[in-house]
Amino acid sequence: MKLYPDREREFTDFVTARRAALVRTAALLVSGDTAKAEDVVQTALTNLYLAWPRVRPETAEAYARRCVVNAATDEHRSLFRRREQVRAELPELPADAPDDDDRTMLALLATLPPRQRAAVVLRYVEGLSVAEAADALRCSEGNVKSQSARGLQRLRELFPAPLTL
Amino acid sequence: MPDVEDVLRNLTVAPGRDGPEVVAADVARGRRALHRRRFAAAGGLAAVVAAAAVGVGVVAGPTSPDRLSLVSYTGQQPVGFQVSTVPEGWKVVSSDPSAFVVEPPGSGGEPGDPGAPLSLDGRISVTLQGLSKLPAESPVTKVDVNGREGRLGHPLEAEGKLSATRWLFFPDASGRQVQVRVPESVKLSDAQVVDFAEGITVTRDAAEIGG
Repeated sequence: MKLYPDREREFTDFVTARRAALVRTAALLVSGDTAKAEDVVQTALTNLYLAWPRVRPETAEAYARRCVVNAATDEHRSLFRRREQVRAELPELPADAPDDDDRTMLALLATLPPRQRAAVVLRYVEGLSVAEAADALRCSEGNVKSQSARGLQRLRELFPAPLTL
Repeated sequence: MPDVEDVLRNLTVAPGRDGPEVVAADVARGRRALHRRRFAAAGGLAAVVAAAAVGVGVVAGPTSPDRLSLVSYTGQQPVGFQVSTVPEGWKVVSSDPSAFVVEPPGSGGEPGDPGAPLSLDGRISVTLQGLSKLPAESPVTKVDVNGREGRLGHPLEAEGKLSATRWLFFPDASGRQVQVRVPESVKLSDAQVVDFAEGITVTRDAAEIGG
């Protein structure tokens, strides 16, 4: 059971072109964990496939991004992650994070609540407009502004100053 | 201290998996999910039909273990339609611009005999028509046919009594209504009926009839 051949070809072309970017967004939303990001993207693309006949080409990218945000949020809410994680130390980081600032920032992003983290990632890492981020998060633009501002403020408080020798 | 916004703007993460085989796996997962969803919908229809049997005396056939398989159709296409999926070994045997019939091997239907009546028993018929609809007594299951809403149900066999024949109505890409009629003796699941319908394309040569 599959889509019309033309639509399936369009879906395949879209995934071929956009998968890497979606994995990147997912990885940022799950604090750099590439395995978890892959799970998120697979879930998101399955949902996108089901919705594909109703998705207009001009909105496909926004729709896919929304699927990724939803899947990442669900991932966070999953049974094994329901309890709030309060840590004395920064969480462990994947070994492949490229430099210290990035490693630190990914760890700090993990301490933000999911919606706040998503607002920060979409606005300040992905560079989306407030309207685009609101569409991805399915919330008001005002909510995006407040969530991203709070998240940014929190990161500023936590991001360490360099050591002075 | 580095500016937090600068760090965010330049944040890098390890690249994920990529390549044609990864994309093919994504597509395969989507197909399986689509199949599961439609199969679940078809199961729901079976339950509703069973419940309706109590009220209006539906003739519900037993579940058949020897269900047909659907395969790609490579034979001659009917006028007005493109057919990409049929039960294995079946063929399109009769066609005019508003309808075609698909029958199993050995049924004896001949496309070159347009004047002769063709029994629809044991055959799937497909008609382009905008007037027919499911009777009010029929349970209706809404199904997804190529992203458009189809309605699967039963006609009346007699007053107050539903037939076990299934009717599927769905709009083609241009909004024209297509009817698929599947008699009880054709052992296709509801999900397979939807699969079959998804393989039907109405061409510009088709002519709509009333009915």
